[in-house]
Amino acid sequence: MATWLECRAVAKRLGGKQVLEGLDLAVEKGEILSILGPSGSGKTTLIRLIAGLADPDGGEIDVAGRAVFGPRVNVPIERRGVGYVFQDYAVWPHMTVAANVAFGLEMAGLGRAERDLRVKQALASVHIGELADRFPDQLSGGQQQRLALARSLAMRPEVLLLDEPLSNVDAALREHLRLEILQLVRAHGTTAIYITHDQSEAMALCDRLAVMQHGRLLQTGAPEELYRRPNSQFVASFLGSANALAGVMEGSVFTAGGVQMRTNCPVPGTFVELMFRPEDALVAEAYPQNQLEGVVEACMFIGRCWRLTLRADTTMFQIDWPHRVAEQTTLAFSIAPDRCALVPREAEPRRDF
Amino acid sequence: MSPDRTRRLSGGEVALTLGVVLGFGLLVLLPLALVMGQALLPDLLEGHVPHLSLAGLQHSLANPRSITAITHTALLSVLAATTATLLGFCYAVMLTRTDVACRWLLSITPGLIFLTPGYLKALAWVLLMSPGGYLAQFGLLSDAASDAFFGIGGLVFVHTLNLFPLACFVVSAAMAGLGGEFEDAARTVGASARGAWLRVNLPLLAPALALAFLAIFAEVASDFGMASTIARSIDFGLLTYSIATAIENFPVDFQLAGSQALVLLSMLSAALLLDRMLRRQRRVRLISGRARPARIYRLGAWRYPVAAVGLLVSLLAVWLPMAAIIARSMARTLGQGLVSSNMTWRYIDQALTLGLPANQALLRSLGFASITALVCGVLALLLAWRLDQGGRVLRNAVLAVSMGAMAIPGVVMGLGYILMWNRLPVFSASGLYGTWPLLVLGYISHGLPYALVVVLPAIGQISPNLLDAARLYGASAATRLVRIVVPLIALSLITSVLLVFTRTVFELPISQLLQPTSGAPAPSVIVRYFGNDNDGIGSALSLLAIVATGGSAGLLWLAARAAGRAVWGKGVGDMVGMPGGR
Repeated sequence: MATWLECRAVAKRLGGKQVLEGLDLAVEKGEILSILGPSGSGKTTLIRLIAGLADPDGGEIDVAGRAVFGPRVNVPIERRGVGYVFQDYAVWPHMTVAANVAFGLEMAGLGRAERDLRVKQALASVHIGELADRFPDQLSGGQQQRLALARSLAMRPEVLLLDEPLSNVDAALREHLRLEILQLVRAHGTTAIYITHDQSEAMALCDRLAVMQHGRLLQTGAPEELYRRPNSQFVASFLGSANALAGVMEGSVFTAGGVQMRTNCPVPGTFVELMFRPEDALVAEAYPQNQLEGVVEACMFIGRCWRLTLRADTTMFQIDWPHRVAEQTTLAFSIAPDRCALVPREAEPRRDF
Repeated sequence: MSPDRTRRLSGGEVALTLGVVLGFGLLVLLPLALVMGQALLPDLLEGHVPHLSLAGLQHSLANPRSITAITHTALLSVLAATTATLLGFCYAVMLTRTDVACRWLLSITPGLIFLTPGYLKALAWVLLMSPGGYLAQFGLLSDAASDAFFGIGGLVFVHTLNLFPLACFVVSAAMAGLGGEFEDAARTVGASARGAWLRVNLPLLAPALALAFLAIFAEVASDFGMASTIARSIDFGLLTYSIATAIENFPVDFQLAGSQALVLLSMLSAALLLDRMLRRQRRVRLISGRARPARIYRLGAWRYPVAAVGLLVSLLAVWLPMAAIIARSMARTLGQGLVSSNMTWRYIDQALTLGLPANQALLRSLGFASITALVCGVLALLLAWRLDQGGRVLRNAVLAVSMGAMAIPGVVMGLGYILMWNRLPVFSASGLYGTWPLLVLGYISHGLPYALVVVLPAIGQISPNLLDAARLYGASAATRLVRIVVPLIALSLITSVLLVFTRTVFELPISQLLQPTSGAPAPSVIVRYFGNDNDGIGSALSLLAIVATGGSAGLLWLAARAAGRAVWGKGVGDMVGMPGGR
């Protein structure tokens, strides 16, 4: 597959702060990439630069094999072939639903008949065909978001950029719309970047996931790869609950105090942290050579299981357990070697005085 | 949703509320009713049984001077509102959407224009534009241009420079609310920058532009300053001035004044009604206030030329008129120009010397304005506090009447006061007519709405829980007001007092119509000096009034803010804006 969107060494300062630092990114044709990061990590800035809504301080951007920004190029927004779905929809309040979709087609010089047909198709595809003559203020939030999506898709953009499109939609509708967006974008075969700070949304909606922090992409890959094999503590904890145990590698064995753990995962160095997720805890007998032990300090029912908080020396663990365990009980559990991810230790080992 | 806070009012509270409404009615509504009554019930104040008659109204309005005044007022208002709205729009776009150079200087201009009274600028322009005036002396002005200025062109010019800030404020606020995403969305589906403005931004800003137009239309129609200076000198009859002359000239014609006031009020009501209708439009409300700020256009090489145009506007609207007033107050004559032999301190000295007429007028005005401002501040505080505790209906009613009262031209208010205190039985027997307390009462009724509009929202921002907590600890209503409310809204309260103070020092029409026999206040004295070719002393008096008012108001405000910072560690006004009013 060919690279369809590429950013090379893109940098941007805003208000004296380096928002993006020499960022590289490549998206394949037809691929959906989710960019996940906390607010202020630079994800919206990145897609605004791609769309041309702001200019980078340096770097190059190619869309559909054509340079749209570089040392000697700066293609105007309207000629980049980039669609953009805004966080608060930005549907024009003075135009009807149909006129909102038709506007861009008219700008593209399409004839009346063609325009009407495309408007009809676009509205039907997002299930608001019967609302064509309404004004946006007569639509619900979800309908406005569908309209915003239809407006962008009707233009058949080379790349579609979605800026947290579901953050203003209530939780019940969000899951439903998430699936709908995914199906629509796939059906159109559109290359898309989906920005969000919601990890479950990011993982559900993409072919590839990128995690961003402080203007840098920390890790890019398939969602399950990032979830199982994070390359940093930040990525691990941002994608879901994670336990960390600081230690050193002795050969291929992780050692922390008296504890020894075996792992199949890549070893990033000598001083590492062993990460595992609460749901990976198994009964001690499952992997007798990979056991941990702690005193139960709290036990909370969370629906599908019990979440236990365990203390082992100075470390706290959270694990999911199939039944209630009395507090102050000492409990041993085990972790499968392929679920023991290793990440480089971010700080020197802390000493407690 | 805030919790339901309705509860039964005690007898004392009912009495207080009634008192508030009654006082407000006497100060504002009765004079206004009398003006309308005078037009429609000619015998109202003649001691006969009044009967409704349109004959008097017809007769008064068929008078050629009335017809001229009405058409002139309508024409001037439409023209000036159009040009001022256009200029204000361009200025707002330049300030908020471009990286124009000299931004700081450009951005303070609208505020400065707003703070300096229009008639002083009108008088200054006369000094600049008259055939022997300053611009002619510098060879910058041809006779033809001078002639053109003393006509409707000059009036439109001065009104435009004086009122475009209003459009600038309205459009800037609308653009801030609009944000950049509607425009960005248009660009991402293929619209050019021009297309996005024409098809998206301008239609969305249209209601704001219309609101600005209507507000400026109403300002021009009710303006008395230009009408009694430039317009009067060229005999360009306008309604406000015509109303004043009908009362001031002998024989006094209340019927004519009342009829013309009714026409003026109808024009203003029409504008106000259109304004309400526009604000009700649902689509306007979809534009949220939480929009992402719009992108700034890089002007590149045009940064300086555009700034030069903006600075020219600033120069014409503020600095040149001020310079003319300063120059004239230090010159023996206008005609001899800006040479050292023509320099004199005589006029400034006269205006500063105790006991001389100019100085007396200045001190009188400062005194009247201080009383007015303090009374308005206290009344606004009590009224706002009462209203905030009371029902929503009463609160909205008083707010609506206040906004309406702000739109009532001073000359109409003055007329209403004359009718009430000179002609209405009981009130005329009070002997208040022609005394300075009546003038101050007129000032108060004109200033109170402004104070209320500042104080009411500030009180509304105080979390009810803060007051309930004080009540739980046993604080009485008075204690809650003094110990909780006043400290929290101190900066707003001081702002309202200073706003009323500065407005009152320069308030012209009420000063003119309710002039006490004991001595005239500064505004009418200034206009009279200019009218009698004593523009030197007139300029000196204007200059001192500006310096005294601006200086004292500015110092007080800064001192209040500094005191607030010292006590709270930050601005007092900031306290109220925080969630829960902490």
